Amino acid sequence: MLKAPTIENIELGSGDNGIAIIGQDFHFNADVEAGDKIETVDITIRQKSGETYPADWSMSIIWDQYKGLKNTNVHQHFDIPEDAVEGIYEVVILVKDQNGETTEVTRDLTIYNEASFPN
Amino acid sequence: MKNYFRLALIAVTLGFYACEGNEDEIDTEAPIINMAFDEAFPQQCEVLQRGETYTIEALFSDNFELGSYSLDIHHNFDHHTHSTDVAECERQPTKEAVNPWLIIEGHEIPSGQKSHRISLPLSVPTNVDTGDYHLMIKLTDKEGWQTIKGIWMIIR
Repeated sequence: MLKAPTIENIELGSGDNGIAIIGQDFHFNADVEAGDKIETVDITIRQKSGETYPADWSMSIIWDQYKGLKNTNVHQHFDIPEDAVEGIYEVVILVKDQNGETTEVTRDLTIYNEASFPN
Repeated sequence: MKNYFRLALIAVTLGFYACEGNEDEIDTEAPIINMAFDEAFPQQCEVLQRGETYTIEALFSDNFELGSYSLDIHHNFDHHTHSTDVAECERQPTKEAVNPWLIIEGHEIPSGQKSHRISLPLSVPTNVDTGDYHLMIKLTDKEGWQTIKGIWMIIR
């Protein structure tokens, strides 16, 4: 039986606050260990069924710089695009292994406009 | 002729066992970054001055064979966290980055080494933002196991 990758120590937003602000830097962290070797790590932020949004929006990033590693720390900072819309989203973190196995973890993330962010 | 075959059989058998021996040993251990010796640099919460040149000193080791390493210096003006071991130092004020110091560079380690000492010059540019920074040293062995050491540095 092939071993699936593992994903641990996930942090969405600074200090794992589960918050993203449109137009601002977003902090993402996770420790990944492959069953065989890592092929890709990708993250998708998408709208949830049952929630309502003023417009359609989603984003996805594929990181292939971890290819060939047995384990790694994925630490990325990226901007939440200006065209993102507020709401409660689900973040899907997907690790593909070179042995063909995949593991995904889904977590909630709240996206705010800077103006409406409750400081 | 008979002796020739016997010799060939022994050679093939030896070859088979030699290969089998290697394949039986699966590397399950990540490499080690040692910065716990007198000359190791930088240490947690090290203060570096702009315009000065320092030397990164670290000792790498692995149970089988080392592969490569990379250095990543990025600002921590937002005081973000890593799940790798970045210490908590006295925080400089949170601020926006204007011209942050950024280094991401990869280095190969000559093949066949189980132990490798690095002494790499590190010049802090005169025009970069002062404040809190992270230095991440990422060491990977030939099998692909990676160890990351995170160091909090302060640039003045």
